[in-house]
Parts: sequence; C-alpha cells; structure tokens
Amino acid sequence: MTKKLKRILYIDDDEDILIIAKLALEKIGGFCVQTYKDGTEIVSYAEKFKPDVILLDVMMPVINGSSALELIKKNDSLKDIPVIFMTAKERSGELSHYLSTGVAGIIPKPFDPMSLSNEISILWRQLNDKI
Amino acid sequence: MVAKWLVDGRNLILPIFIFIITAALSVYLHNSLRYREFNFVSTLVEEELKKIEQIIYFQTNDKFLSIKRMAQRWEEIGSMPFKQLDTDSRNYAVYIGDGEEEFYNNNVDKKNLDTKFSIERQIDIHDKKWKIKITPTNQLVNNHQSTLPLIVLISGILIATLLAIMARYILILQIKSRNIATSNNLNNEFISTVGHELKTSLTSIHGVLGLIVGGVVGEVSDKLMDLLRIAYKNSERLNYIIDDILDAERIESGKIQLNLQTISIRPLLERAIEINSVYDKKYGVTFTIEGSSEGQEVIADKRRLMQVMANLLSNAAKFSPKDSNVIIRIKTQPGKMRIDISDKGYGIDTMPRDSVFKKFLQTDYSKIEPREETGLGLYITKCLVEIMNGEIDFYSEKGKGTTFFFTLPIAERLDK
Repeated sequence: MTKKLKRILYIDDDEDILIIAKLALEKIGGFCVQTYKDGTEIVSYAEKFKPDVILLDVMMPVINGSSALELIKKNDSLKDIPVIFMTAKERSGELSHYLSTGVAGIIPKPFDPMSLSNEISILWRQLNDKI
Repeated sequence: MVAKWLVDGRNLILPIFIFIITAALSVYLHNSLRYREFNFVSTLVEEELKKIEQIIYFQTNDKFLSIKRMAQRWEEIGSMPFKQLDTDSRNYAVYIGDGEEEFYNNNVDKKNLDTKFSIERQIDIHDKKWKIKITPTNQLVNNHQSTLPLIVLISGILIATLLAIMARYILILQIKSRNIATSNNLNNEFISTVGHELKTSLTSIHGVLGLIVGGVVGEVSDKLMDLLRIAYKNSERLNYIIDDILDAERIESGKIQLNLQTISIRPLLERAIEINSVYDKKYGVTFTIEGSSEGQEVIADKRRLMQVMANLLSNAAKFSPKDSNVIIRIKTQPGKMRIDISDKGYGIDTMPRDSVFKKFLQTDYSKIEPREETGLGLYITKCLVEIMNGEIDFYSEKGKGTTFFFTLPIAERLDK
C-alpha cells in the first residue's frame, strides 16, 4: 500500500514563491509544509522536520539545488527522501539532464498553484509504485 | 596602427622563436653551401700543387745536381719545367724555391689573388727540399662561387619574417575568436539569466492570481473574478512567450546546441502523445498513430523533436473540432522518415502560404484562446526541423483540415 504523502519541505530563495507554494500545498493538498530561504542547513532542517518529499529551487545564491541535493544524498538517514527540483531555468523539456543527478522529478516554474499539489502527489505515487 | 600591432607585447614569444629558428636554419644552409664551394676551390689548389710537384719530380731526376744548378740548367734549356707551369697555371700565382732562393715566380699581380686559399709547402723530391707556394686568382675563386648561398640566406630570412608575422596574426585571431566565444558565452548566460529572472517573477504573479482565481483565499465578486481570470490567463501566456522568445533568439544566433542521436520514432511519438495528453483532454480530440517505421531509426535531437511534436500536436488539437481524431502518420521514404500530423479543422485559407512559418504569425484569435498563441510556435518548429537536417511543410483544404508534415534523415544501419 502506498505511503500517504504528508510532509513537504520546500527550499527556495524567493520568499514570495515560498508563500504561494506553502498556501497552495496546505490549502489545496492538505500537506504539512515547512519552507526555508537557504539550503545551507538542509540536512538539519530535514532531520528535524522529517519530510516525505523535499522541493528544491535550482538556482539559489548560497547553495544551489544540485549541491543541496548532494548533501541529502550523502546523508544515510535522508538519502531515500525523494527530491523534486522546482526551477525557472528554461523550459521543462530542457531539464531532463537533472534527472540523471538523482532527482525524483522536475516541476518547471511558473507552476500552477491549483495543480501543484496534484503534480507532487502524482510524482509521489509513481515513486512509490517503482518501489 | 601597424606599428602598434607590431609592438603589442601579447604573444610575441612564439613569433620570435619561429623567426630565430627559421633564420638560424637559413644561415646554416648558407654556410654549408659556402663551405662546399670553399672546399672545392681548396681541392683545386691542392690538385694544382700536386701537378707542380709531379712536374718537378719528373724534371729533376738528377739527384747529384743541386736545386740551384738544376734551375740554372732549366734556364739554359728553355725554362723547363716552368714553361709548362706558365701554360697550365695561369689561374694561380706560383712561387718555387729552395727556401732561401726563388727559382720561379709567374708574377701574377698580388691584387688579383685570393690569399685565403693560398698553400705553402715544403716538399722533399729526390732528397732535395723544395718550397712551393701557390695562390689562386680571384677570378678562379669567383668562377667557383655561386650566388646560391646568398639567395638561400636572403630567402630564409624573408621566410622567417613571413612565418613570424603569420604566427603573430594567427595568435591575434585566436585571441579574438576566444574573446568572441567568451562574449557568446556571456550573452548565452545573460539570456538564460534574464529568462530565469522573468520566470521567477512570473511564478509569483501567476501563483497569486491562480490562488485567487482558484478560490483558495476566499470569495471575490464576479466582476473582479472576470478581471483576475484575464490577468491569470495572460500571465500564463507570458510564460509561453518567454519560452518561445528565448528559443527563437537561440536559434537565430546559432547558439542552439543539438544532441543528434539515433531515435526509434514510434516510441518517441507515443511518448509525445502521452506528454501532450493535456491537449487532447482539453480540446476533446484523440491522438492516433498510424503506420510503422519498419524498425528504422532517425537521426535527431530527442528533446528538440519532442518540442516539434508538442508544437504540432497542440496546434492540431487547438484547431480540431471536438471529438475528432488527430492522426499522426509515419511514412518511410528513401533516406528519410516522414511524419504527418493531420487535423480535421477548418483549414488554413485566409493567410498567404509562405507566411505560415514566419515569426509572429497572426492567426484568427477568435478560434483559439489567446493564452495559447505566441506567434512563434511554427517558426521555431520549422527552424528546429531544419537544423536537424529535415524539411517541414503543410497542405490544407478549407473545411476538411490541415496536415503538417516533416521529414528527418534515417540513420544508416550498421548491419547493412
């Protein structure tokens, strides 16, 4: 039976986007969402919050999405948490190379707040089906 | 300007090195040729000396007479052997004596002699010591010295100079092309960054409007909702425009990078339909694939081919009547694969044929929702097909539908 998706950790340097995504995911998806502006402490955030899924912006000033992903994958207790990239970097079709870095999925920005929860749920189900 | 170019200190080491090596080589060649000529003249002088030795040897076989007495006798009998020397040795100044007294001197003007080839030797002939000195004339030396070594030297120096200038020119061109590449990279980075920043801002605008329009933050009046819906749709359209403008810019400036590979077309088309299923649901059409690629593969960039299919499938869906079929047909032709996308829409009849693939194509907006149209889709599609070495065109019949078709080169099979 598929584990229910409940907790989402989202790291993005754009505060406005964090507010919108948190609102959309909580109100529409009913998820418990925690957001941060900087991914430097991603390991401690994840260890404390214990998310089911981590959403990561790709282009962030202090630590970018790829480096933050690396920190997660290096940690034995966190490495199995699916990481989804949220990126405004060009069009979605051009982002397939990220998938080879261990990313569970890519959601291009601008995302539709009304279907964001659904998109993440679909990815979550696909990942669980694979397992 | 030339002076500035010449003294510009950047990358002078290689041209100078090339000049020194080439010039040194030409000096070496010059000296070698000169040395050979020098040796030849020295050999001639040496041979002449031996000839004189032999004459003396055969003419002075009376070992009981002193050299002086022999010389006196030669004088008496008619200057033998020196008469023969006069005839044979007009190109040399010859001196013969016994070390104390001179017996013979052919009296060639000293000014005409080249003393660096002079040979002076003490020789024992029939137990008597003869001293012979022989010096060639300038004329003889000149006759055996050519201008070739000098030509080689001058040509060598000229070639060295030319090579050095060429090396410098190539280095400058390299620096310039490196600068252009850097500037292109910066430009690429700039475009990518601008695109990223625009989309980041758009995410907030689109997100806020989406949440309000979706009713997540509470109810708003109908009038306000109508206006917010317009804003929401246009924020979505702006995203398409940004994507298309970035693509068009990349194509036009030749910055688009292709990853050409062999692709099985049928699975790719099936995947394209799956990805673009949003359109068939939205417009109530069905995408159907007909035909087979007969196990053959095309050479294309997978991502870009997907983009081509997305554009053509979304176009076909938009212009199709509800509950109709959009047929995707695969046809194999000599050396190429052709893919047709046919809709049963109202056809293209109101615009000139050649304007269909032009930038900012103006369509009848009443027939499609404004947010779907950027006017760049078919232009980008055509460019992408062409840079993948394919062709694209369409045929249309009013009221019956339109078929867009494109070709891609078939990959050569290794087992053939």
